[in-house]
Amino acid sequence: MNTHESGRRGLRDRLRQASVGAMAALILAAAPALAQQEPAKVYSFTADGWFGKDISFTPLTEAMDEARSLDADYIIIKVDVDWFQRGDPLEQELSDDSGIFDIFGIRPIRPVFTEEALEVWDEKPQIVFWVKNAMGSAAFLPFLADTMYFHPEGRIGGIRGVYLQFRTGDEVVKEKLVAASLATAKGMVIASGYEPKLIEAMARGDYTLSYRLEGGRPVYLEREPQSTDEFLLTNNALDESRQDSIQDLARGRGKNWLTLDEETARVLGVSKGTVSTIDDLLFELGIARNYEMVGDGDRIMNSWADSIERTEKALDRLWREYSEIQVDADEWSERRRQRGQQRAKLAQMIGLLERYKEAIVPYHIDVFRNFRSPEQLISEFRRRLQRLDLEQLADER
Amino acid sequence: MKKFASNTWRRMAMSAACAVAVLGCVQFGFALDRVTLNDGRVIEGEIARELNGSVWVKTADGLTQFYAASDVLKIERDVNAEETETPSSPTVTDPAPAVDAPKPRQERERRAVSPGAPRAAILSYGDADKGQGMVGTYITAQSLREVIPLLEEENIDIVVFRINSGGGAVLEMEPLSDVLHNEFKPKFRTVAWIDYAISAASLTPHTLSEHYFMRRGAYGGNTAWFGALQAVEGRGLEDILYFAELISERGGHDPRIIRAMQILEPLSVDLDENGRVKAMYQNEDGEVVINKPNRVLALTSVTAQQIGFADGIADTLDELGKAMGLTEVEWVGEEVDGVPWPVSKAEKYLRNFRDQTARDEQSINQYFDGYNVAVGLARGVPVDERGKFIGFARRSLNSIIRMVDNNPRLALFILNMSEDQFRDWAREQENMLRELSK
Repeated sequence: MNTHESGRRGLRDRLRQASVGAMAALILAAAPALAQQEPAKVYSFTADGWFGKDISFTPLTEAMDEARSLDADYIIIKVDVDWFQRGDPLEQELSDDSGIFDIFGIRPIRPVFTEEALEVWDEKPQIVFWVKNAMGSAAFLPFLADTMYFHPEGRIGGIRGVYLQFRTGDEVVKEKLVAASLATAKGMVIASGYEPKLIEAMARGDYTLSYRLEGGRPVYLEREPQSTDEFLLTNNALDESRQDSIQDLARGRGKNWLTLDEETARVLGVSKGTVSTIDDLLFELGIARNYEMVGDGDRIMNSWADSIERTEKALDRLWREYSEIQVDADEWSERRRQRGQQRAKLAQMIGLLERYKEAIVPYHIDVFRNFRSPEQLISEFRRRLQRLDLEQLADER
Repeated sequence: MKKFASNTWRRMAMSAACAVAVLGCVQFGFALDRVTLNDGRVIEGEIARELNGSVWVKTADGLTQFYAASDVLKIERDVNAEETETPSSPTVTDPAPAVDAPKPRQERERRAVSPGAPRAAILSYGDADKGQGMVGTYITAQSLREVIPLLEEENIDIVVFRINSGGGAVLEMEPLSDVLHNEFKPKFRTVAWIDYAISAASLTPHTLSEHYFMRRGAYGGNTAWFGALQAVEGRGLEDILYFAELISERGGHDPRIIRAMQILEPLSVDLDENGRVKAMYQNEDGEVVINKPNRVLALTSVTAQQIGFADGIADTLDELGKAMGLTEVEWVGEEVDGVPWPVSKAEKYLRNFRDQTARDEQSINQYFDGYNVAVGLARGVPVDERGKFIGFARRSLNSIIRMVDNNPRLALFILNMSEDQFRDWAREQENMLRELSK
């Protein structure tokens, strides 16, 4: 290396140092701006399985709590519920005109996403529902936040026939129950800024709704279309001439109850876009090049679903084991031990029911077909525990 | 006439509240936004919230109206800055934050309030989310009456009943209306905050004059029924319709509203250019049909605003205080995990009352089974061996008595006895147990 060369390098080094210094100054000056460009923290999970069982208050709350602890900026919830007859081994998907309106499925879940629940966050996250299958009671779930995207196969519906839940009774009483159910459902929709008429169209068969687009936005009309720029969403099923034909129903083209598919939802502005993958969704959200996935919501949801499945099996097994224990020994101490075994089984079942009662439906478990609710089952088990106390007391004579 | 007088009073109260609020608002200025609707109406005020193109606009008189995206033609913000340099009439600041505005850290933390600030307590009127919403079982006149001394002990000025119930027993409606009207209203500014208020849970707080709706709020569906969804008819129905008229009068509300919630009666309104109710009809003659014929009315926060029934919209305590025209308010109570409002002594009492009622409801079969079996066993053995069974029976009987002590209504709803009949029955059982031990 010669001196000339060395001198040039020295100059280069000084220039490099100077440029590094300038860059540092620039970075310092620009620090606030750069800080805003920190990667967006995205917490994502799929709400799949049975609504009200696999998707219920506790796992959703735990997922939201984890997202909060990780300072998530975005929470993406893919909604893809099971939509087939319970027990169908082929799991054949139900048609759009299946399902019955049920507001009580969503009510226990609603508090997870309310303004009050989000108040404890330092900075409120953007909650995004990505809809694939939101049929049945799950139809209300995506309406609990103000941002919704659809999967190309996405659907919201299956809450037809708000009237169908009441098979007997006087009309005015049914109307009262329908009115209360619809006002509750519409309230959830209104709170997120969506159009409440859509709920009426999804739920009431006698409701006519059309729309036309003005400036790219829908104007809703509670009547049939009257010109070529107006489009029918639903018509009045009480009018025989307007009732869906089996041909239309088979092809998913029924007009008595509204099912939002990706196209309709997009045109009506319910959906902000249609995306096939989460990468596409992140792109639509404008964070595709600067995001960080955080947490593991799927683990929480899956763990809950597994726990429920195990609990159902355990309840079935524990009941059978309890029933097989006969308190018939000759020895008093042996009878006492047998009662102790029964007591342990009952206590275990009560413990499981107390812990998972929000997701346990007794009549879905073969041995508990005659029980309506976990509370009723717990009450019965407590009564049996008390009977064991009395029997033991009587046996001590 | 009474309605007019009541409304006038309410308007005066609102004006006074606004006048007070002005002091707090002047420093922030007032942005005038303009929303043009598809039907040609132009609404000026402050856009409190915009979601999915739908807007909540607060106008100068303090009322907030919702306009669905499909009704909105154009939104213009800060038009006063462009059109005039003269400040507009100040108004109360809107309760709702802009949707994207970052929230301050831990908004629920207590704020310092002036010594003279009014003290307010939130009292839950049922908790349907916990299965504790039944009027008559979980919401009773007696339990409300019992919290009044606790409210006084904490120097409460304002009671906010947060309604979360799907309804319940007709027979509890009059006692509830009476306790609200005769005992709460004279002592406290008593308002309803509507989350889920269905059937008897809307008819009873209809006694109150002020109703603030959560955006998701539902209110109505008051048809009386029994058995397998059979409607109350004839004289029984007339009694209930008349009772609802009296409740409407107590609250200062147009009786046509509650009537449309009880039977298949339509309701419509004419609105002025600012969206205020000019006239109300028990038919479809009004320009806006709120309830169609052959339907029962249940209000949403939107329709409640349309008919001028909602006094404000609020999803949070901050929003509620502002909607009520309070520049300062001290929400009295302790922070309790999972409860989004401070829990005062009175609220704690009501929560304990409901929890105990729920435990009792679930255990009632156990109490009676234990009692009956123990008595049977006692009868089957010699007197000198009866002690342990009689002791068991006595403990079970005491559980039943404690249940009714906590909630006398359970005597009727579970045991089909009046409270007096139950006390007689309990005394008989105690005597019988004494005899059994002899």
